[in-house]
Amino acid sequence: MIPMEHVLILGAALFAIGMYGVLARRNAVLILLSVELMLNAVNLNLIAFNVYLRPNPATGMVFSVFVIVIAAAEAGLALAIILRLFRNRRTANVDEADLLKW
Amino acid sequence: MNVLANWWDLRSLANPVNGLLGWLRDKGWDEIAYIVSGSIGAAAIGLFLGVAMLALIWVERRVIARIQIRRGPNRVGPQGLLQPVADAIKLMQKESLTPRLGDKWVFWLAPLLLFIPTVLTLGVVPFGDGMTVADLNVGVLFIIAVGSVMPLVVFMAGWSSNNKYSLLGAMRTIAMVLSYELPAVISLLSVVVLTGSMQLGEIINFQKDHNTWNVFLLPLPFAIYLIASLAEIGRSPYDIAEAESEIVAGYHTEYSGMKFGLFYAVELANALIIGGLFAVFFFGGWWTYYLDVIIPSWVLFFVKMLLGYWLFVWARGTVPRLRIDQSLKFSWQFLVPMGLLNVVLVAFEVALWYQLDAPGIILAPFAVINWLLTAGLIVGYVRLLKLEHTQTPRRLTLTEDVGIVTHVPAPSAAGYSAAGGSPA
Amino acid sequence: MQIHSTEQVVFYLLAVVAVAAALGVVFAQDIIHSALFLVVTLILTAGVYVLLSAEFLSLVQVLVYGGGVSILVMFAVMITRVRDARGPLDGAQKPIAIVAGLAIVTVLVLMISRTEWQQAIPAVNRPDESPVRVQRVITQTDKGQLMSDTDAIGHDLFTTFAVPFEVASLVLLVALVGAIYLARGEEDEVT
Repeated sequence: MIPMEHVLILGAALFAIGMYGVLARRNAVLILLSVELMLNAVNLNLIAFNVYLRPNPATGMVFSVFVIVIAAAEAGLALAIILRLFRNRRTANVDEADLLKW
Repeated sequence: MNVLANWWDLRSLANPVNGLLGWLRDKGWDEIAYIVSGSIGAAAIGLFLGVAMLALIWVERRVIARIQIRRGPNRVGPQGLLQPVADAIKLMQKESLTPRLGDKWVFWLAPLLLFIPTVLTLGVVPFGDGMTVADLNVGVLFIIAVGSVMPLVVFMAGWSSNNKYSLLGAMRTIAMVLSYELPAVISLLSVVVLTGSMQLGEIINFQKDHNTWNVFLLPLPFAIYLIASLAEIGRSPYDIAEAESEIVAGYHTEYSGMKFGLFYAVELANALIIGGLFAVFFFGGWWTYYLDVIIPSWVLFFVKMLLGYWLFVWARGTVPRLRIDQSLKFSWQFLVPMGLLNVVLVAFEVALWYQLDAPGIILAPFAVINWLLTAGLIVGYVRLLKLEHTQTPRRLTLTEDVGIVTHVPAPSAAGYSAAGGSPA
Repeated sequence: MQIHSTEQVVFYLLAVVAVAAALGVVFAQDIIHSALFLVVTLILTAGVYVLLSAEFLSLVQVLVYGGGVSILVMFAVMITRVRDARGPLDGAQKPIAIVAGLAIVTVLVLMISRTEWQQAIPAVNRPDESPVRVQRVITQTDKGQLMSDTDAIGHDLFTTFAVPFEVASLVLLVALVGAIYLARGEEDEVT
């Protein structure tokens, strides 16, 4: 059996990489990709906790099903918003969408 | 069934393999047995794919030729049987071009990746009694999940070619696959609800235990899955993604040599696999009303698989291509709601069956109800959408359809004078 | 670090490639490459799920991310691509982001390694089983039957978590309608 700590460390690494992506990128689509990466890392953790710590009931797995559902909905909505932003401002960069600052 | 389950009993090809594995286990070489069974499965799939490719290209070209009133390949070898080999050798010799402004890595990866879903899907198909490489307990989901990666690979091919026709073809393919995946999944959901399992072996066992084919019980899912799978693998009448008259060759316009050969091979293999899945989901797989006692089960399965494939070839030869907006509209407006209604219906029936704790004979009235409701639903829904056809199909006659009025004396009519036959 | 089984070898391979592909997501200078790397990461994570005996979830992951979300992203990239204005994809805050990423990974790894985990399952992969055998999560229904993880998820989803399940489906519906409304645009708008 794989040691649980190693699964968790994989999750932590993916989460940190995703967070770096969210902070460093300026293209909205890329930020969304990084968010998906972070959600994926969280899912990995949930499943690992479920399998190793409390195998019954399958709460962690059900929770990660919900996370996948919400992530899919979020991706659809966020991409629609990005599309809207692009149509209005001809750019998909978040630092150029600064109309509310003024 | 397994009276003669010895290694030499070829009614199930699983017997020799099991014999070998049993011998290895007796020797205490469990890990070697594990590797050997995996290798045998992989080799079997590879062999099957290779032989099927070579045979099916010939079958397809000959059948299409017969439908179009020509001969088809008949020069290389007896009856042109060696034509696919010659084609393959020719394709291998050709130069493989890479567009200079394209994305080289993605361009190279796409044809290779396209093969993976095909091979993986073959892994769960039961080719005969006990002849599955891996009978997963989530087999149906596996097939759907693996197949859903296909549009991504098509996108890679279309985008990396740096060609507008490739990109348009890829976009069309993705739009088609996304719209038709939903009805396909919904129709398979009916099968899963009825049989109570996602394991392909169990689905066949259900049909065997109840002495029925699913097609008798689920006519509507069968029709929906037929149409949707035809669209998903992009064969005509749904071949708008590679419509020659509109966008050259679709997403593989820029591919040449063996890379083009791979695209072609995958298209053929997908049609064959869909034929096999039809056999599993709706026609009892390898089980055929006690015929499987006499005839080897894998022969029966291959016959069903090839019949399904032949149906696709037939459709390709006879049905005209649809426009993309027509086909997308058809999926969303007709197939999806019908499929959902059918799932609800089947769920009710299964619940009733379990509640009453009834014997399997209750499936007979269910079948009658399903057929009647299917007919009623189709007619009613067509009425509702006002899609009624305005013209009954009639046998076409050439002179009428090019616009020449037949009762006018022919020789003096303008229609015959010009070579192009401009209508009078 | 001791390696006990084939499972572990497979896991480390998957983990290394997944992290490499994740780095590709955040460092690639082409949006399409970034998206393709993301698909690689997600599919490899699905492989890790299989090793953790969550087959159903791994297939759902491949289905939703490999099929759905990635295509959505590709479409978005295609539509929002401006041919001339291809500025840098990274913002000016990149150094801070590197520091933050390193900080959080350090904190998390320290936390994971210092916690005393109380594992419910003892070491299960007995040596007499076949080498790459997947340890299945076995739970029991009320009648005492054994269930695979698919059955377990289905069972819990429609009993304990029935209300959240309905709410989630509602959320999906709302998101669908919202996305269509947002993306459709007005009648006279030039897209």
